[in-house]
Amino acid sequence: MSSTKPAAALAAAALLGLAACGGGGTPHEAATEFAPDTEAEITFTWWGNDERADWMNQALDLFNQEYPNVEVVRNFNAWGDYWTARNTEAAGQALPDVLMMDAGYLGEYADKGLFLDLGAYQGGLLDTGGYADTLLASGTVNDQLVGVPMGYNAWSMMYNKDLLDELGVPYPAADMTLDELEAYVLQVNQAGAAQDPPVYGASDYTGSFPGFIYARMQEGEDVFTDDGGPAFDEGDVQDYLDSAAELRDAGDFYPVERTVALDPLGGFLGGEAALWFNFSTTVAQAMSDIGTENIGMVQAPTADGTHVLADHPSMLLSVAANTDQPDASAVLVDFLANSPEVKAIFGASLGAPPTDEGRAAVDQSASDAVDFGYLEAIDGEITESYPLLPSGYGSIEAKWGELHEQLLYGDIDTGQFTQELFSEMDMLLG
Amino acid sequence: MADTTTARGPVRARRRGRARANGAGYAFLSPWLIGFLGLTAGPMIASLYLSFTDYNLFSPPVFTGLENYQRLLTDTNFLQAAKVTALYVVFGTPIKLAAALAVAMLLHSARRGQGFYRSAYYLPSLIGGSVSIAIVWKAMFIDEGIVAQIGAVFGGPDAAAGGWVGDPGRTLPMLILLTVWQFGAPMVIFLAGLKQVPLEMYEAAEVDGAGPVRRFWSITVPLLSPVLFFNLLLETIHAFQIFNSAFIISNGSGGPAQSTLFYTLYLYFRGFRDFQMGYASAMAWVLVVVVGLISLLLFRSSKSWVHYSGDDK
Repeated sequence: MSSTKPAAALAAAALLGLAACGGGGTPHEAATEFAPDTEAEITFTWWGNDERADWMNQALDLFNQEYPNVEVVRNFNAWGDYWTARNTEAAGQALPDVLMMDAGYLGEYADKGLFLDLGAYQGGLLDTGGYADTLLASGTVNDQLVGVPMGYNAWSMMYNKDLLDELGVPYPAADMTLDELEAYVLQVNQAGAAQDPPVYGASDYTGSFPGFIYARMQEGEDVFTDDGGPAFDEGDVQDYLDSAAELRDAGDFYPVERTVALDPLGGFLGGEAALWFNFSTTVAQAMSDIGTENIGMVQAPTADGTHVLADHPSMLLSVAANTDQPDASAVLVDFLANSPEVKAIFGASLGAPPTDEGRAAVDQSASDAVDFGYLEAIDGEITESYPLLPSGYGSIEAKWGELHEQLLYGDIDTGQFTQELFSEMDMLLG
Repeated sequence: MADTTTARGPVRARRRGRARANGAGYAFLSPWLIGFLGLTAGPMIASLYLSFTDYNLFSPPVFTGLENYQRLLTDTNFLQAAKVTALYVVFGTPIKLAAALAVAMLLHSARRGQGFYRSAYYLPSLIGGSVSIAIVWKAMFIDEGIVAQIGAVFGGPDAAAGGWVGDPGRTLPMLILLTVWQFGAPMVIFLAGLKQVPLEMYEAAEVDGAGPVRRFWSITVPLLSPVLFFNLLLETIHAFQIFNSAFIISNGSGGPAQSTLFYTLYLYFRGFRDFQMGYASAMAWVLVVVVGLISLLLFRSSKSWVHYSGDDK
C-alpha cells in the first residue's frame, strides 16, 4: 500500500502537468494601443550567425528605447539546429512569443494552429500599409496573416560582368528567351574555351526547385495544391528537365565534377561561369565570393521573353499562438518590420525592406544597389505571390538537388529522376 | 517463542547490514546508473517504440506497425547507404588493421626512437575524426590539392575536373584512405600484444630453420590472435559508425552522386532534415541488429582462430 501512494501521487502530478500543457488560453481581444511604459516580458528567437545577432541586439536596444519596460529575452541558433529546437517546442506548445520563420516552414506551422492571426492587429498595433499585397499574401495561410516578411527578393539571373568583358561577350538582355539563353551559353563556352580553367556559360539551370517553380509560374500553373500535394505530374518535371537536355548531353554546362569539388562555390561563385540563377538577395554573396562588384542582374529567361514574377519573402516574423503577451509581441513585430532605423542596421541582409520608407533608410552597398535596382525594374512584372510551400518542402528541394547531381553524373536519367522525386514526395508531402 | 526471536535477531541485523551495504553501493553507482537509464537505456527503448510509428517531432507519434521496416526494403537510398557502408567496412577495416600490424611490427623491432615514432603514428588517430582533418583531407584531394596533382601525373583523374572529390568512383577510396591513416589506436594495442610474445619462441623457431614469413604465420599471428580479434571487433563496429568525415567531405550531402551516403549520414538526413524520426529510429535499430549479428559472427568464428594462452587448442 505504502508503495502505491507515491506512484499515484506521481501519476496525478503528471496528469496535472499534461493538462496544463494542453490548456489553451482564453481568446484575446487585439489591443489597438500599447502605452510605451507598458511592462511585459517576451521571448524572441531567430536563426543566423554572430553578425546577425549583433545587429539584432542593436535593433532590440532601439526597441527598448521606445518601450523601456518590455523585456525581450533573446535566443538564436544556426539554421539547422533552429528547426530541431522549434519543432520540439512546437510539440510542447512552448514556442517563443515571437520567432523568425522561413517560407518553407510557415505553412506547416500555421496548419497546426501554432500561430496567432496578426490580421487582428493590422491597422492597429501592426502597420502593413507600405507592404505589397502579393508579399503579404505569402505570409497568409488559411486567410490568417501568420507571418510578416522582414524583407523580400525575387528570382533572377545574375551575370559576371568582369568575365564577360574579358571574353568580349555582350551582357545578357532582360527579355531573353530560353532559345536565346541556349545560344548565349554556347557563345560564352566558345569564347571561354581557351581560358585556363575554361570559362562556361552556366551550370545546368534545371538543377534547383525554385527554378522549376519559376517555370510553372510562367505557364500560369500552380506548384502545390491547397492540401500541400504537388500540383504537377511526372510529365511536367520530365519536360522541364528535358528542356536543357541538348546542352546537358553535349557537355555544354559547367562540369558537375568541378561543381562538386568547388562546393559550396560552384561555377559562378568560383568565377568560372558567367550566369547564375538565384534569388536577388544572393547577389551580396556572389560579390563577396567572386571578389567583384561587377555583377549584373536581369530576369531569368522564359519561353517567350515575358515574365511573371513573384515577391519571395526572405524572412518572416510570426507570433506563437501560445503567447501570453500577444500585444507586446505584435508591437515588436511592427517595430522590426517597419522601423527605418532597424532597416538601416540590417541593410538588405534580410532581403530588401518591403516598404519604400524602409528601402530609403538603407545606406546602399554595391550589392544592395543591384538588388534594389532589379526589384524596382521588375516592379510591374511582380503579379503573383510566391506559392505557399507545404510542410516537407525543404526536404523536397534538397532531394531535387541530390537527384539532379546523379542525373549530371549519368547515374540516372530524367525518367528515374521524376520517379524518385515523386516517391519521395509521396512520403514527405503525404 | 523466545528461541525464534533470538534466532531472528542476528539474521535481521545481518540483512540490515547487507541492505545498508547494498544501498551504499547503489548510491555510489547512481551517477552512472541515472546516466545509463536516462541517457542510454531510456532513449533506446523510446526509439524502439518510435521505430513502429510515424513521428515527425511535431505531432504525437502514430503507430504504424512494421511500415517503417517494410519501407526500408524498397528505399533505394537505404540500399545505397547499406552498400556504401558495407564496402567501407569490408575494405577499410582489414586494410587499416594490416597497416596497424605492419607498423607495429616495424616499431617493435626498432631499437631507437620507438617512443617517438609510436607517438607520431598514434597522433592521426587522435585527431583523425576531427572536423579540421576532414577539411584538410578534402583540400589534399581536390583539384589543386597535392594528391590530386600528383595523382593526375600517374594516370589519376584530371585535377582540373575536380580531382578525387568530384569523382564518385574515388570518394569512397579517399575516405578509406582517411580511416587507414588513423591506424594509431589498433597499432598501439598490437604493439602491446607483440611485447607479450616470448622471444624464446622466435629463437627456437629460427634454430629450427623457420624464415621470417613462417615465423610470422606460425608464431606472431597465433599468439597475437586475441589482440587481433579485439582490434577487428572494435574497428568493425567503429567503421559502421563513420559520419564526421563523410559529412564534411561531401558538404553534408552524401555526394557526389550518393557515393558517400553512409548509413549514419542517411539516418541523420531522415531524422534531422526530413524529421522522419520514426523511420530514422527503424534505421537505427536495423543498424544495431546488424552490428550485433556481425559481432556475434566474429565471436563464433573466433573459437576457430583465436588462441588464448593456456588454451589447449
